[in-house]
Amino acid sequence: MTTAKKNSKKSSSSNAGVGIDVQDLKVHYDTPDGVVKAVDGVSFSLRQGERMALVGESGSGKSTLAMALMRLTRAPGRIAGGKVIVGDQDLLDIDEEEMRLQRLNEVALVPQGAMNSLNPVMKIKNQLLDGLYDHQINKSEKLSKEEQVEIVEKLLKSVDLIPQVAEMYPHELSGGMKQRVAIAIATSMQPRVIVADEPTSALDVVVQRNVMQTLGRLQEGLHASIILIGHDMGLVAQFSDHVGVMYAGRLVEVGPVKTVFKSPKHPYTRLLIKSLPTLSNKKDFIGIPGLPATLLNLPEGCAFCLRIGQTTPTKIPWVNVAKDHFIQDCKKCADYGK
Amino acid sequence: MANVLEAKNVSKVFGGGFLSREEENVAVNNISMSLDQKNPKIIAVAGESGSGKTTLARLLLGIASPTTGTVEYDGKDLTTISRNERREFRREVQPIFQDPYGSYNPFYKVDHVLFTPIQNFKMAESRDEAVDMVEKALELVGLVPAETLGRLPHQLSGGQRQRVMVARALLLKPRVILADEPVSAVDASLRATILDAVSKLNKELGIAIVYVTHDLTTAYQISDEIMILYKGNLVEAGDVETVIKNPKHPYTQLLIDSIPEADPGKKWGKLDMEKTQEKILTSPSVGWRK
Amino acid sequence: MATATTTQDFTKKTFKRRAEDFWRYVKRNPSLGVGLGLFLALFLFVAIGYATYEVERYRPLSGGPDLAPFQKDSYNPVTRANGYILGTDRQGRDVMAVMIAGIPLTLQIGLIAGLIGITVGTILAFMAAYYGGWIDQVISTIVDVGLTIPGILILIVIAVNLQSGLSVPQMGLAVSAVAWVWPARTIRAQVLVMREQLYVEIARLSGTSGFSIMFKEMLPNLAPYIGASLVGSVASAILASVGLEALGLGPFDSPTLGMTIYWNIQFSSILHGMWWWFGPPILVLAMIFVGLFLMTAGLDEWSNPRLRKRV
Repeated sequence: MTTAKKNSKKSSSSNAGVGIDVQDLKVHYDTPDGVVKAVDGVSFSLRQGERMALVGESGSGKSTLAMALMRLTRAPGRIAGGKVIVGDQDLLDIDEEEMRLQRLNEVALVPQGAMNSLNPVMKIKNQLLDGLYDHQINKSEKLSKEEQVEIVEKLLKSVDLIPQVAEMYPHELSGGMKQRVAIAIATSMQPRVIVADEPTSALDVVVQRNVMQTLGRLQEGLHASIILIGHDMGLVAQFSDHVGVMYAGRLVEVGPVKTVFKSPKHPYTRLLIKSLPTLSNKKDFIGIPGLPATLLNLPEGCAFCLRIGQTTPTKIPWVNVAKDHFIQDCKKCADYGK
Repeated sequence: MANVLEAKNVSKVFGGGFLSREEENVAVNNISMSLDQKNPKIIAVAGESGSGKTTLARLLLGIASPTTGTVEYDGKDLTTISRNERREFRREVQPIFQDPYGSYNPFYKVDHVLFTPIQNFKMAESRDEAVDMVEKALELVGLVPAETLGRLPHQLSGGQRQRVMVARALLLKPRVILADEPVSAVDASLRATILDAVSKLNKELGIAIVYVTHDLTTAYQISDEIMILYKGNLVEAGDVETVIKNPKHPYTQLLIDSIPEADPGKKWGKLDMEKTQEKILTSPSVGWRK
Repeated sequence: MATATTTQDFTKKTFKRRAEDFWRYVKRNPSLGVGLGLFLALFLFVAIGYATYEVERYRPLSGGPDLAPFQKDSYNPVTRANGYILGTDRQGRDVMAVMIAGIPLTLQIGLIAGLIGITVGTILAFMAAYYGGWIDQVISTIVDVGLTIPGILILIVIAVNLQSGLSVPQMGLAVSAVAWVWPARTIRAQVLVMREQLYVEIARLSGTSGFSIMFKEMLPNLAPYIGASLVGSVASAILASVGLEALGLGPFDSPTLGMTIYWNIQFSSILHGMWWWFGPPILVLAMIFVGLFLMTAGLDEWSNPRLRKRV
């Protein structure tokens, strides 16, 4: 079975073309001082083969969201509601064993600092085969030596690494190479959805570009959907089709990357883009006033209004303003920063 | 008149040597640069990891000594100055480090980091005068003294902590500030305020600034001159507009080409990686451009 | 004014709040809780004992010999018709009085030796780690050699030479001679790490002198670790002193737990089934060691947040 065929086979089932559909996802932390709503009702959906980026500052909830999509949330955090539908399966509705099989097979994670999550005492080839074995055993097929070598070589090639890497240990590789290995492991079972949490934040700019191009090519070859979590708006602009901006655990704007960057509708997005330095011309520094919100006992109203010193009593509606473009439509702060 | 701080053909080599088991590592290879008192500029030292920029910063701060070449302060070699002169140097050349959390002693409130130098260098006659100095410095960086003083480090955000560090540097009225990646550990939206504060130090107080970073974009925004480092060598340097808009060395070209611009219209990565890598290995340094 | 939801006032904490936090922490850290509890029990035992009992009877010939608990004392038939709560030993000591008097004495030895050991050890550790060079070489060599020589040998030599009229404080001093070695080594390692911290670098660049850096910057952050070392030090000091005393090299006139063990051995109390005489000191020593061990484990967890299992 070639790679693209696997995913197009999947999409011929009921939810044709839908890569991942997140509905009202909530992740809460229980602390003695109250509930911290790290992810407070996030909804978005991606078609098969599309690239989405989720951006936000520290504390916005984006990494928590990434872990929740894989159901890897650890105590004291817990998934407090919502649905994560991949293909035609709600990942939050199945039992732990089923979820374990879904991981890597349907949803794969390239974690932050993936290069540090490689086993230092295992050869690369064994780490690549590790995930495959785990899933194969349940299909009671065992790979022969030749098949192992073939698969390892194919995986390494898919991330532009030479076959000799298979016999090496992680400490013999550079940062960029280790990240590619992590990507190879994540895509070894041809998942439908790839979640990449800051995959290049620790890498130099030149290496970053290479790794992202490799990741992009791989994703296209698999016809998989990819959710890129990060804070580098430049990377977002260059890599993704859609972008979602998170603030205080909520999505404030989601839309096609060209429109959001050209004419952002939510004030937070607007200020974020305005504050970005460019290589084209020198300009005055414009920051975002106030401090990022504390998530402890955050009130229902508009979180951005709080940042600029005003309050809104009710929950802000999630409005569809254009094709694939949604925003938190808070009338009070809508024109801030124009 | 001598330059306030000058590096003359400095090199720093780690390991190697007769009895060492480590391989020889040339962290900094024959770099020269100078900071002028009459015309204080912001000079960016840009490069990736392993370029030697942090080592160069440490040499300039006098924390490390060069293997060959000299680092001079007001024309005097740092390794041979007297104890009093060294004390003066410590006060006049101040750092801002990358890690806005590790710079603070977790046992004390943030006040500690601001009042300690005032006490040690006897910069104030009374407690009231010291408090006054501290409050003014905090306000200059856009912080509210009442909301900042009296807090423990973990009670402030990364951006605030870093701004307190800038305020600390301000207090000492140094002649040179060495900022080593001051904003890389800080959120994008808060970077602007910190960089703005750093820029003010130069424009309003006449402090010369060495801005060490891997982020060419912010370097472009605030610097007057820029030095591009690659594996310990200075490959290109000069006026920031010239170097960025019209890079001559292939490494500089590759760096600029690889930066993702926050504009979906401008695509990155147009240069051919392999060909450019070859060119880098064979091209000599462009040096300081006029 | 972004104060309401964006910042919280951490600076004012009422006493009630602090007490609540402490109790919550103790629940989260059962080792520390149980350890402290055991010591609290011992403390109460001694305090109530001194208030209500005739502790003077720890001396020999306070009553008839070999009396089981509550057995009638034929030497004092009128006043002691109901005997003694824990009976008497072969030499007529009131065992209960011995326990009440002896516990604080043993703890005292441990505390003296532990405190001296930690103080000397910390000073040497800081000097070695901060200044490095030949100072470090000299101190480290002495420490390494000291660690390889069995402490008990050194103690026996010291104790034998001090034999005449050894008092409890003198015992503490003797044990402190070996108690400083291990703390010196472990604290030196901690200081070596701390020396590389960024805030130490900043303090140096702010003109702080070497001595001030050690005292003001590093020491406060090492306090939890030193506290845990102190507890460990006290435990091994008590063990060493009990060992010496059991061999007959302790303060003969004092009813320390170790000396009680010595007399037990001398008069074969186990063979004679005098459970009221060998039982209590063993039980109390067990409580002390278990309590100290749990406290060390608890303090370890406090000083190293990464060991914390629950939020």
